[in-house]
Amino acid sequence: MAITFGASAPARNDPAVGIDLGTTNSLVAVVDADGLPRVLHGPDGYLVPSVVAFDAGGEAVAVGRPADARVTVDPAHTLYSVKRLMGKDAAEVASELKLLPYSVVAQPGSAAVRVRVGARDYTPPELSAIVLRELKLRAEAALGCAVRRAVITVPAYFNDAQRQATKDAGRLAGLEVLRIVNEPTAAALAYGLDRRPERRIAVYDFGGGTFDISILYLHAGLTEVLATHGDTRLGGDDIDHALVSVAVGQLRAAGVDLAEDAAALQGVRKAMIELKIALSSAQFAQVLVPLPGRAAVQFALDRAQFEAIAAPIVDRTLTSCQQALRDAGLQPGDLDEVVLVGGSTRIPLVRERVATLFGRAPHCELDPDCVVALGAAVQADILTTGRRDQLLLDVMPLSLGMETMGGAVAKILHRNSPIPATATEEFTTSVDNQTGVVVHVVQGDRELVADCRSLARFVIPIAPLPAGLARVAVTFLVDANGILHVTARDVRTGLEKSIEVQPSYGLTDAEVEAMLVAAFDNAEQDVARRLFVDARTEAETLIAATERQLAGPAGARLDADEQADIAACVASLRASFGSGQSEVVRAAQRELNEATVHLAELGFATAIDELAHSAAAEALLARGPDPASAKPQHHA
Amino acid sequence: MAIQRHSFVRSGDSPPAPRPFAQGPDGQVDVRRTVDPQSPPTPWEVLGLPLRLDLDLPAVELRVRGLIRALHPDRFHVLGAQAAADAERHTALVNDAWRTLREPERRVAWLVDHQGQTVTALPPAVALQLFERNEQIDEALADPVSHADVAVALRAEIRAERMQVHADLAVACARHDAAVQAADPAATQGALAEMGRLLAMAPALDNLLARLG
Repeated sequence: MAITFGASAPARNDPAVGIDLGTTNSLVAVVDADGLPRVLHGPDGYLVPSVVAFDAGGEAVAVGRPADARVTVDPAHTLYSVKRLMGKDAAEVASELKLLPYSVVAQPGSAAVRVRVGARDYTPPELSAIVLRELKLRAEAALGCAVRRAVITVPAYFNDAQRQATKDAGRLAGLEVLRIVNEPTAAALAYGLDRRPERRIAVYDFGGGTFDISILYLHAGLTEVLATHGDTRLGGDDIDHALVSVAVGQLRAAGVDLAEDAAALQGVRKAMIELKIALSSAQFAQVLVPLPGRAAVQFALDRAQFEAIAAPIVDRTLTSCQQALRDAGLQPGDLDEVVLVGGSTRIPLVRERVATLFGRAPHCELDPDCVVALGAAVQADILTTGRRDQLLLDVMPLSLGMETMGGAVAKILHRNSPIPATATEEFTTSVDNQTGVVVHVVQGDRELVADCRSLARFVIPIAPLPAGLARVAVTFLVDANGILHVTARDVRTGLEKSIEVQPSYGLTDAEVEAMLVAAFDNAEQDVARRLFVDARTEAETLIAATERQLAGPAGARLDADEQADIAACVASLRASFGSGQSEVVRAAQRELNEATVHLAELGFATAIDELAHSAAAEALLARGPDPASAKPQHHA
Repeated sequence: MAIQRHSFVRSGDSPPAPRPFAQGPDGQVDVRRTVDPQSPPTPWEVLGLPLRLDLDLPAVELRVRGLIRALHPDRFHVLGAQAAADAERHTALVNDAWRTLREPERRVAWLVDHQGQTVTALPPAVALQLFERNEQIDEALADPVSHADVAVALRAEIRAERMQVHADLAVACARHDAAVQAADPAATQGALAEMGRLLAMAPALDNLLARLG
């Protein structure tokens, strides 16, 4: 038998991955044969910005980092923070959209909210599915086999509709969603790997768009959630928005009004994010804010000023923490550890406030960006291999109830009940000879229906009887994904009606099926199209750089033949776009690259001439030209 | 075990010992049993406990953990969707049973609702007294200064009655457990009726206390 040296270990059969589908970034992880989880890397690292770029026709053309690069160039066709729209109704989406530059449309015959991009409309699950599909492709490339199954994480405080929307997104991406897991719980699972003896921990998860706090009890392989609280509309994004408003206000005071300029606002947003990140390590930072058609403006902030802007947002997280502790029946001193998750926990102010509240320095040994995906991978391993003596016992974040007389809510399952959970309550009629009872299911912790979220409304037929004599038993079952199933039964006739709760503004099963069929029809075309678009984008950048150099002093030093040769190559590269095929574009691009070698050398020499008297130039000349920089283009 | 109508858990009195999953799902727990919706198991049956109102809660909690470990749907996922769904329902029932049993008043209320007669109306004398007390509270709230003593006295009186309800409930529970042990249906129903009457008093007293602040 021949031994092949250097061959990688055979891929595990049908691996199940863990996916952290974030507001800002997403990533995918898997548990290896040795039982340890690891994050899967793509060509540009492991974090995939949750951004999708579209062309004017509304077709998705780039996902992740290349799409993120287009946010400032083409804001109208580049979508980010889609997670903020998941499972929301039209009014909620409209309020989110005050902060995001997209437009929302209603489609006749469908309750689902759609976002208009170019000539096409997308539901939030479809947009998330594009990001998930990218993660699936990455995982397949890294593992060398098909990936069909995944555990996807959601903020613990996500409601039923948001969980359903996330599950739909997974299905649309061609994934069997094994489980929807709460992000802080997943994080605890990742931290629980070292199997220390029993302890109580708090997981403080402050991400790009959501905040969650969970109190957990870890003992003997059980990861048991005691209480959870949070805010699905509070995240690092809000700090960015606060900084942007400050910057826009200052610019307006200086006579520059950006309010209507989407591209410029995106430029400001990117600059403010850069500033925020810099201030996590420095006491003082400044950025250049690019302004269209005029000189960039310097914007500077010190740590104290930044903290004054961020403090109100950070303080909102602390109220949630106190509530979660109360629900768990614990004092801050009862906790053994505090774990930080999410990019926003890199902010020193956040760490300070958390340390003060809990009276101990928080843990951050695991990369806060990775820990959720690692935990999701562990959960996928638990579900698919049966080899781990580990169990995750989670709770439901919000109470579930039914509308009763006068618009009051009869709570059937209280928040922080362990899931899977079930409860049955009997109701009766208030009018003689009623032939049906309306079961209106709501989610939330307020006493009135109007203050809770309506999840579903259905009618159960009953035998007509005098008021108060009919008996309807309503059973709620919340599955391990946190998704509700309701059964109502006329106790006297045994007549039963069962539904999986589908939020009125969510996608129906038929809609998801139709989208799936369309996605499979287009799958092959999609891949080819995407390769082509990548190649074209790269080629356009090359052409722009070449033309800039041709027009400059370096171009003037080329002879006429060389100039004509380059111009011809540029023309044929442009013409190759018409083919729609990535290979044709790549071939033409290679020719242009060869034709511009001399131009690149001249460009380099010219640059050095210009720098002749600077120290940098002397250093460069002493070292000699770097062969890698002798090309006008450097593509990874 | 005194009552075992639906043998939900086939084990004896000790909780099933968790076994490594590699040996297959725990043989002591029948996860394929479907629960008859017309006569669902009692919380005591779900947890495999004898029907007693006096419970050793720490021991019951250990038993719940053992059952959750054995039944949790995550352990059955590899066996297919049906097994996982069954396990999901059974784990949910265990969680529901524990929620009912862990709080004494909820535990008693469940038994009264399902095996006795739920009491919704207060006896006329109690109702009349309730009406009078509400009037006294109205007066005290309208003029807090001159009625301060009345409010203090009323609060102390009602608190004492509320505590008496607890004490009487404990006695009735003990009577119930003894009657079940002795297989005496009449005495069992008598205890349940007494518990129903006491449970109806509790919210009325709580409401008065809430009004007094």
